[in-house]
Amino acid sequence: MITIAISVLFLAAFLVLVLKKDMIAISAIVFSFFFLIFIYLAPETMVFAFSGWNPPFGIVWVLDGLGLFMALLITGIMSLTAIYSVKYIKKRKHRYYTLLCLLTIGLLGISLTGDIFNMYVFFELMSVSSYALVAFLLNKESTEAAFKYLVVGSLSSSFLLLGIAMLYGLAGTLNMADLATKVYGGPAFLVVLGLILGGLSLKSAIVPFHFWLPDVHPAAPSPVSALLSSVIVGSGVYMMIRVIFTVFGIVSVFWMLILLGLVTMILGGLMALIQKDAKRLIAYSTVSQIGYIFVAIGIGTSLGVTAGLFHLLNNILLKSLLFMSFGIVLWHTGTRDMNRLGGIGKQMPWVAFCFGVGALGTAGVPPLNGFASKWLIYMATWQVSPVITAIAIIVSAITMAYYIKVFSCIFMGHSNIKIVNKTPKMMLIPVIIITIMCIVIGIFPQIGIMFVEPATNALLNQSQYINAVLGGSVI
Amino acid sequence: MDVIVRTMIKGIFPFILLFGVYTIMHGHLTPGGSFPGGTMIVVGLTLVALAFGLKKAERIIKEETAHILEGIMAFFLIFIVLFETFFRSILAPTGMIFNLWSAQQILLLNIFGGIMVTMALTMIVFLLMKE
Amino acid sequence: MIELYLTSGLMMMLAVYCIAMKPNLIKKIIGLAIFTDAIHLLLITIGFRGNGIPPIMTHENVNTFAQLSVDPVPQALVLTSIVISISITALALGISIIAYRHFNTLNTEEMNRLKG
Repeated sequence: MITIAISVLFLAAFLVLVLKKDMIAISAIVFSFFFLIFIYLAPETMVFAFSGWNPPFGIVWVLDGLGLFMALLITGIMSLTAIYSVKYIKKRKHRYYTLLCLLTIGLLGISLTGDIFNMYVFFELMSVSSYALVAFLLNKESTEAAFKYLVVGSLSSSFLLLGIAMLYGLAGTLNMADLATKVYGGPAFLVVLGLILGGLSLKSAIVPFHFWLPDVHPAAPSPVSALLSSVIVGSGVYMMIRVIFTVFGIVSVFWMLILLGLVTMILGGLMALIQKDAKRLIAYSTVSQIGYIFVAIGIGTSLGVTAGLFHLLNNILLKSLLFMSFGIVLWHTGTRDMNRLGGIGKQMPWVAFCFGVGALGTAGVPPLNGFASKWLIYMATWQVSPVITAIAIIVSAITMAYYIKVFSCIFMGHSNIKIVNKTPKMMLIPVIIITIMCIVIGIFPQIGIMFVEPATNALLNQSQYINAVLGGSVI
Repeated sequence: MDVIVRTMIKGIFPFILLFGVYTIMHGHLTPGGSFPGGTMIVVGLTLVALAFGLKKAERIIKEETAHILEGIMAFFLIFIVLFETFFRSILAPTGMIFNLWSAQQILLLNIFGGIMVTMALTMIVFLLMKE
Repeated sequence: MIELYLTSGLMMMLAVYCIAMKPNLIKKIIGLAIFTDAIHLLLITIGFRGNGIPPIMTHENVNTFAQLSVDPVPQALVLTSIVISISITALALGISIIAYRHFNTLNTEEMNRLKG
């Protein structure tokens, strides 16, 4: 059944190039979103086996709580971005929409598959289309950034492939549930885990591998930056926690996650303070927020994982909101330099309001969604060590500092920039939808927790996942 | 290119095509399949393009045609995946050595996939040669 | 067998050296291709079995068949991975063509100097 959503996206990717109508791609992505809502409402875990081969042999797709959580988020953000890009992208629009459809397929496949090599294939599909999307403007800056991203990215995915090859040599299977029964904590498996996590940590921008993110974001078009910073980084995080919790089930790497998360958090925050380019600043802020997610997940308790996934959800919403609303400013003024911008808050109050919600939400100011998840993170870290909580609160203050700086530089003060055109409605509507979602989740955090809870249960119950896949109830 | 190379390629080109088609068709029985076979056909086309120029190679297949054909083949592949139970019922369920009509729908997947690979690689080669 | 593992390890080291140290864009792309090929060699070596039957499923029983035959999975993995590697190489070559148009050079050090 899930093949229908993928087939529609594949067909749209081809037809939009031939028929040259953007509506095909947009409606295909929105269709996949509603289709996934329909699947999400079904009660139990569904396992879909391709070509009638049952789990240990064939490729399976597992639609459990965590996978559907990611898939819904991905298709939701993708459909909003697709609507946003109608007016933003001017040249070679049809190629852009083809790449967007392929990116959606890659991300959906990553979050729903139950086979580790299949995950690698979709990971590469996502990577190739994101390299092409980064290079989409084809000017000097974006060509250089895309080549850098391509070389580093394909080197890291080669390490992932090496890890998978060694895993197959050791365990003799590729199915994730079957692997979970065969993996034990020997040194050979730790080497494999190291290779796989090393390959994946580049996409999820943990500190030694975060350097591509601030270079790539300014070079890409704004909707692509929104995607890179929210769903692509998010799917990197998803793959890491899927491999650690579901496949390996090893508890001893958690202290490493906390340590890396703390370093990521502090370094991202400090680097963001000194940036002049607004997009670079928001990119470093993404690095910092990813650190929060890893600290929370590294605690490993039910509360910690809930907090981490809730923060992942909020980060995806807030970062796409920030990049999209800054994209409107960029579309009008054409500059990313914060010293040259200024005083446009009065000329477009709605954009200023939306950007403000994103900025304050990321900093964790009470009535917004960032506060709810950060509060959960503080509570979860307090149980382990108050030092981590103190560091998290200090970094939160740093976040506040640089967002006040970027907000006042862009929207307040005086300058001679005049906004001539009206902001198109197609660009404003997705931004306002995400703003409303941020405020609603901030006021009623139960909605967010309700959405995250099945994902937490799916992540922590390894045996339930194994039973669902190998137990025999395959569609 | 000089006359020796041209004559050689003129002679060898049909055999390269034949071997490529054979590799595609027998993917479920012998080593090979859609991707290696498609690559062989494209190697033949590339040889023609190198020896006689891109115009001559484009007389065999144009880039736009390749693009359209690739999409149609992708459509067929999706069709086979969606209606796999039907295709499984009309073909033999297990593989039989030396029997082309066996091994479920793998033969159909190989043929459509082979044409798709050929077209995609042709597009890549032609686009890079034009630059 | 052991010499194949060693060869693939050596190829990986050479490829990482090539990607990290050579300033030319085309050489970096070649390095990436060599790295993927080394992993393919490793995968094929893992799947090797001395005297197995060809992996054509003539039996109905999957389990007895799986014990007798050569492992076909690594070869399928390698084919998939080759396709991915081709698409990445094509994209990288395309990007380097555009980079050459912008900078008139393929040397990354000179590109940095041009950018100022």
